Amino acid sequence: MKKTIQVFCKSKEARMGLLFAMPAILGFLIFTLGPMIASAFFSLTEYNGVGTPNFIGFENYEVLFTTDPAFKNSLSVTLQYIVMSVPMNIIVSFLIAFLLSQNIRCRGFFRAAYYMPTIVPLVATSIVWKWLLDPSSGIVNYLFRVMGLPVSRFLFDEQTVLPSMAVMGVWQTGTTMLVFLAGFQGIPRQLYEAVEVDGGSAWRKFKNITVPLMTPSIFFNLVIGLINGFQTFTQAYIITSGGPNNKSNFVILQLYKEAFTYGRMGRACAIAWIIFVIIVILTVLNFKISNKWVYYESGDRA
Amino acid sequence: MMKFKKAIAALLAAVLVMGCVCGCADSSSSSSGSSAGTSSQGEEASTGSGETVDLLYTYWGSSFEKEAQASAIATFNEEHPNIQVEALHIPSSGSEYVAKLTAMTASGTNPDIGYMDVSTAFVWAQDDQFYDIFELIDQDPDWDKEKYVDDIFYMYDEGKSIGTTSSINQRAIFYNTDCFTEAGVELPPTDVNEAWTWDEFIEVAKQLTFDANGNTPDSPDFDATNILQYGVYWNPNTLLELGIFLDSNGADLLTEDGTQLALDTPEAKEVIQAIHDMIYVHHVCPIPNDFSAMPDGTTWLANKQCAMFITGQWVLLDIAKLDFNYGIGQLPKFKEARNVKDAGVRVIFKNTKYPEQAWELYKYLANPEGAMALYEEGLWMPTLREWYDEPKFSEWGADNPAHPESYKPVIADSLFNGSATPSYTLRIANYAELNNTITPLLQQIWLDTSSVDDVVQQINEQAGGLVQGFNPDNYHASQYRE
Repeated sequence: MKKTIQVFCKSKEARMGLLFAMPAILGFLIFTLGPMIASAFFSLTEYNGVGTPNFIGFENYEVLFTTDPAFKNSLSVTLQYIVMSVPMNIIVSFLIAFLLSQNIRCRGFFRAAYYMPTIVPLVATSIVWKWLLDPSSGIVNYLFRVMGLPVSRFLFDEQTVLPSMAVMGVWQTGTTMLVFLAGFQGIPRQLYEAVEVDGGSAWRKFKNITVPLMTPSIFFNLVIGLINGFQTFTQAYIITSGGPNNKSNFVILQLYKEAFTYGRMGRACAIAWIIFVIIVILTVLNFKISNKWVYYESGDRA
Repeated sequence: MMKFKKAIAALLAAVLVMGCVCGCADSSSSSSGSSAGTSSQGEEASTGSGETVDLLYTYWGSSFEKEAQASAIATFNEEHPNIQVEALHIPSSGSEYVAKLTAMTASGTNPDIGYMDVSTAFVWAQDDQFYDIFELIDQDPDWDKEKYVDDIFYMYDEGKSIGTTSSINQRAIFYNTDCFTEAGVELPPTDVNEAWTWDEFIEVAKQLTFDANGNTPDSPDFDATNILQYGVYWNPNTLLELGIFLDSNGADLLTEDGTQLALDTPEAKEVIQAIHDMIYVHHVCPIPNDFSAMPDGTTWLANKQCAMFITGQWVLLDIAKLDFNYGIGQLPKFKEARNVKDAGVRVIFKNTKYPEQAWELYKYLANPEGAMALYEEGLWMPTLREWYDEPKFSEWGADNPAHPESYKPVIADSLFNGSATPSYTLRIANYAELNNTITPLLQQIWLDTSSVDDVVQQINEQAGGLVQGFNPDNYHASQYRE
């Protein structure tokens, strides 16, 4: 291994390659790794963002895990949201992508149309949904009334706020859908033809060819979906400010409040690191479990 | 090779995760290296006489405020050829403003003078980021604490102040006169001694509430699910707003010694229950605006969707531009008629190179003359006492669409007749965190999902540990005068 690296560095090509990659590497070192190290340090201090950091060891972490009910609540809210939204996003965008990969009329138009909401800034989306889901004047409740269904307070009720936000999230899954769409393109035609020759039904094709060959895409979207789920912020910030009764106080929103409302940058950094560790653990677990269900054509498993 | 690939994959995954998670922390930590820096902009320029001094002033506010402030600063620059102020408008208040100022301050490019979010200002004051405004006032032979309205200094230590409020805010009932005449109901009183009791207020509100069939809540046929006009519209979205009525009933947020929360007193619970009943028993007030995307109360008032709107005087800016008959009335009372005074704080940063010139600007900004539109059109109230006496009062507070006759007795006078007390933001330490913890819990009452007793108990459990007592005593000029 050592030798490989030595040889690697000696070749001119390798040096040039490294040089060309430098902007990205430097960017990572300066804008990601540097701040990361800094935030790790600040998480061990009492620091308001402008004064002198005062080293206090692991007190921030201790407080977060023991006496601070807001942080625990925000973690639980975030996990609940992830459990609701990630599977739903994956299933819905998988089905949409599946339909869009068929030979339908105006395929290009529909593909663009379903991707469109992703381009709209989340702030605008949030405000539109706030109107749609308004308890008294929103169109959703209006339709419910017309159809004789019971109305809901949606985003403004402790019980329904997270499910409502999860449904809103489905609207934003264009990127997930795009990954699936690419995955569908990669499935070799001859496999389907083989099923046809054997007289298999469409359902067989879907179950025995499409789904297994799509597991790498599903896996990728699951990992990304989890990471994104932990970072949910804008919807709650714009629509509910974490309410009602903190039932949509996501962990990043709590981090933001610690940093910019209470002036506790140190504790905010500690929260960032806790989220980071949780995400790393979940991702590692994911990769471990993936051996059991993700199928790679080449047989090369990650 | 396999291993190498795996390592790269792991590294990539780590980078991805880190990049995502740390996004939020970046702004704080990347610029923190120079946090000790005390240099200000304009280091090159010397303070020598005759040379021009550059100051940076930051503020937030609507486009209307931006325009008025920009013109005030332009006038200042004309009048003071040796001081050139750059006014930087940061559109949003609250945490976004703080985020921006944090980055500026940490990198040593903070303003010399500016607005500051109150809760953050208290935290930064402990780190000595601001001038003690009392020190500057005392050094100035032409200036005096007595020039200001009482109790508008933000105190961070005994006898030390971060600054004064940038304006003053007062609450009142703003009503649509036509709603009252059509229903044949007497208008809200303007004299503080004649303020309605809460029960009288609810009775009046009932006469002004109508369902789709024209029934009032007293009628047996009243349909509470289909109300076209509400008697009153009020959004108790912060403890500060709730505090007016707590104060009126002799209750407070904290016990007298400042060691515990006091929302479990019978007086406090009575107020909270009364507000709940106003919405769910008497049906005279809609569920608070925070829980819906409905337009704000001003639109409701103009459209006769509500007859009375309880809010602050800043709303006059919008009301005066709408075409309907309106008036201003005294807030209802429980025991004593009460009001509140609050507003954001304006500070001078400790690291300014030119404290004298910054103080000159500070004084100028308190003077309505430069930005008369802000006062004339109803948004702001002066912090300087002399502007409430004639002839100066008439320059802004009378004979214009935003200042009907009822303005003086209801709003301006409440600053001086003892009914307006300093708000929780001025009085109570750690207010922001208390408010952010307690307000969501109170939402259970405003949404009718929990009883007052339950919620008060939850409040004591979850917010009891956040109590840090009262801020040091404020400066009551009138007290010294007597």
